[in-house]
Amino acid sequence: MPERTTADALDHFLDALVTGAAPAATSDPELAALARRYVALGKAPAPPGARERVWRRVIRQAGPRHNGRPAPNDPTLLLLRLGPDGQPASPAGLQHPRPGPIAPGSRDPAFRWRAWTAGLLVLAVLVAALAWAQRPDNLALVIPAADLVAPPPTSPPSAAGQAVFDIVLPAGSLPIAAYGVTFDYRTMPPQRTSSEASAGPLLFRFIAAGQVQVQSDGSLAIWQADDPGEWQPVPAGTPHLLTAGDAIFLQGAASLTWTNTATTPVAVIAWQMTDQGGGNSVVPAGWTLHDQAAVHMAIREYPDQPARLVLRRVDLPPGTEIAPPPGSWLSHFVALDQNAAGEVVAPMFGKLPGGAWRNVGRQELIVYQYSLDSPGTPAAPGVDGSP
Amino acid sequence: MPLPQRDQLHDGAPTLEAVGPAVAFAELYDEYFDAIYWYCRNRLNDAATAEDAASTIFTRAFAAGPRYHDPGLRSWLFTIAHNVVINVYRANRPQAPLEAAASLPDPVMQLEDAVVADEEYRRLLDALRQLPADQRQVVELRMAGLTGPEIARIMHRSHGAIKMLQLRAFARLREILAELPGEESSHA
Repeated sequence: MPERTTADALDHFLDALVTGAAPAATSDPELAALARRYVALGKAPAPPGARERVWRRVIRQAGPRHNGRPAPNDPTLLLLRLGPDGQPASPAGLQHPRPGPIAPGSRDPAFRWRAWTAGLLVLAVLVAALAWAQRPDNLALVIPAADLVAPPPTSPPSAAGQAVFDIVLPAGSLPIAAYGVTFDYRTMPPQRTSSEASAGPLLFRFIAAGQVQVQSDGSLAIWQADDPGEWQPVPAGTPHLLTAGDAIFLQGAASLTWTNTATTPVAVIAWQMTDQGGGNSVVPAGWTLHDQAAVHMAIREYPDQPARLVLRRVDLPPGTEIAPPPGSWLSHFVALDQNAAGEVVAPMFGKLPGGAWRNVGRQELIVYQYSLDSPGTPAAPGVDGSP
Repeated sequence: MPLPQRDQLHDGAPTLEAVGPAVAFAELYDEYFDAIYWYCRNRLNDAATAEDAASTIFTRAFAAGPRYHDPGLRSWLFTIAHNVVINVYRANRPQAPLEAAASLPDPVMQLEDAVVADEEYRRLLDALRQLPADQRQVVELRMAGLTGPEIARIMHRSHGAIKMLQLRAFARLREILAELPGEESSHA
């Protein structure tokens, strides 16, 4: 068969593959099979978190456009309120179409929001939502959300991890109506200072590596790795040096100043829960964001009772899975991009039915997972205490 | 809760005319992010650089909003991607030709790691990296889901030339894979 005929047949075969049509028979089935393998290879989802990270950069780079402020009709204004799949990401959000527990980079194509096919009704609701977002009292808006559901049972093999600290919070500590939560892994280089303001009500920072000095204008509770079992109060305005394994916990609004006076970067696992929007907050200047999980805004579905906040470290060998702890109200995880030997790794996860994530890479990963649940729920082995 | 009517909106709120392009862009992002990401990642061999490139690509696409509904959307988007990848690579490696990107050592995991821990994928990508640059690009654009005419537009060649190029690319891949150990156990 002439080469051109074979080339035509292969081209038709490939066009059918990429467009989802039924591929025709080819004169060279072996070559067609090879082409099919390559096309299948190209359909992999991006790593968890990449979609959201790039979306945030696009938003930053895309606007504002006019004298430092968005123009009244600038679409950037809307982009700021949309997630990377077209779903609203603001307190003025619409019904989140993706049920089930949220995990970093989670995306279910079956629930993709097709705005154009949704028609004018969706557009009208979007515009209305934007108007609500600009209301000074928009926090009172009732936000539909389906992000917070009871996680499914863990499927073995999974890693339970080791609790690095455990906080019991009295009833009423969690946001009473809607909430946003951010959980991330960030680093700061040596000889750098950074400030951040927490709107409260809850925040913790765990030092995964290195050391850093922290000072707050609010009262902190400090967990010291070399003296575990009890949270120590630190008065406002008092600088405190945190080393690897230490943590701080803060309730209420306060400003924090971080200073890395060491010669190595400091790595921090950061969590905060707000009763406002902005669960997808950008890390303060001076920090580098490596991984992040967030709920931008959701209705509270956890009970109004004492809560326990647990941070676990999970060493996740290739092929093992991590899932929300059974019974947890809310849980996310972030993965470090260094392994225990200090080597750079690229965390790669595959999402499994039921909400678990599998380490599909070839290297063991260090994962930090937090969970909120009832104080009566059995915890992973480790330390515990109350602030 | 009654929704506010349009005439009740505050000054400065986006109008319906502005909502359309933003939603269209978000849809474009949703549809093509994975393909763009892996195209960049595979060409640039680095996750962070690939994310930088992807953000640049989508920012440029957003700036050109009216084109969201062009029939040639995918080829237009991947033309941007092609140009951005070249610029990124040249900026990072000003002394090296673009073709050298194929032989860069991998500082982080490669595509195969993300797909599944499967030896077959590693072999397929190893073979892909041994192709000449133009053949490799045809296969990578196929992997990104583009049709033959779209690839022709991106590479500024005739569709007939692309057909011959991809035939030779896959034929060469078959030869390379046959020379690599373990092909007998793969489902060729």
